[in-house]
Amino acid sequence: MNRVGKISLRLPNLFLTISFFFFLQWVGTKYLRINKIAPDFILIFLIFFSLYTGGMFAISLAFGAGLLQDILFRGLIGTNSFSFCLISYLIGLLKNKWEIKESFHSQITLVFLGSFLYIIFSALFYQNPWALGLLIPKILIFSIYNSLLFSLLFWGLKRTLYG
Amino acid sequence: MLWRYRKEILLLFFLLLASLIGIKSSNSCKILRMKESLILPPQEELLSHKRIELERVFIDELLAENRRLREILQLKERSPYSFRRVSKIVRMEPVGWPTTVLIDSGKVELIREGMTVLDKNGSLVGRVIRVDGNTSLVMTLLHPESRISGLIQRTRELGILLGGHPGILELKYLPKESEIKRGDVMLTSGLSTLYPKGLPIGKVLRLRGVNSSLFLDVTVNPAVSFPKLEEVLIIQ
Repeated sequence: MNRVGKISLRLPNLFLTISFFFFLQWVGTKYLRINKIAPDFILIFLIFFSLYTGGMFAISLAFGAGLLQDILFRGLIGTNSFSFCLISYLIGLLKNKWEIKESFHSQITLVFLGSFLYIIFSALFYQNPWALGLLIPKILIFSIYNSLLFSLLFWGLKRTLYG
Repeated sequence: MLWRYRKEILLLFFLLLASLIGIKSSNSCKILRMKESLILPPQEELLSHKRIELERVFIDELLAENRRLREILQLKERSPYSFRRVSKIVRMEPVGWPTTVLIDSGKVELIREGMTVLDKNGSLVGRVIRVDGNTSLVMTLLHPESRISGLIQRTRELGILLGGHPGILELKYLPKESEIKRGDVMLTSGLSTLYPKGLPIGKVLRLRGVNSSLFLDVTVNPAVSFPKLEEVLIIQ
């Protein structure tokens, strides 16, 4: 059982939550687009999970969820696994250095940065960094959108997974 | 020692695994689709590709039309004839050689029966035989009732060109003594009121003398490529 500080993870709820977030991802790509930009609910979930649980479990979950997302949503397989693993690891590092969990604003900033990094890592994975210049306005919208949704979902996630 | 870096080792393992999977799957998935796959959902991505393909076809079509219209414009500038209008063909027999074609100009555009119809190169297509409000029917050279007074450009000899044959014209009443050769250019003679003089009709394809006849049996290949006809010029 993973234990981070005094918060313990409700493992059975974890699988239900992941399934629910995959459903949200499907809904998001279909109905929640703003200027053709869809939010990434799986990314939001993984950032939250890396922040509150972290460690090897979070990295493994990030890899698995990324792979599943690539397969289900027909991306280049490996992209999301690659980006999610890196983000999960980096958030795990930050989490141990600063007490981010104490500040809600820091968490939102972290989601913003995570979303930004997600695009950069994906670009690296695609070996296509030049496209970033073209994508910067969209990256910003994507990151802000994810941060807003995180703020909406945060309490629900925390309550479901950690009680 | 290694246990201390277990997270990093796991991360490296997963990154390597993701990269290997990515390399394998990238063979069937173009790398440069980054923008769409990151931002657009998959269905949107597919639709976007289809839309781009359709737009490309549409643009190619517009470019081709533009090129043809430019050719027509050039012809219009260097030609001595009085042009009435450039029209599009809106109906043509889908199979075989067209004996009649319907064009998108009619009474509204001041088209009248008997007007001469040319292709983009200025070669003779036929003449208007019926005019409606917005469309007109053109009888082509290949129509069985088509009769054109022709002139061989090199020898200045006259003959009558008859339609009714698939893709070719028959040149009648050319005496056996004629100096006509294969490849000679046929023009309109201007001796009838139907067509002005000097319009290219085609080239001599085949000639044959029949012992019992006073005339040569000549076949002419029309200059107009009827299956490729899309726009025509109408002259007065």
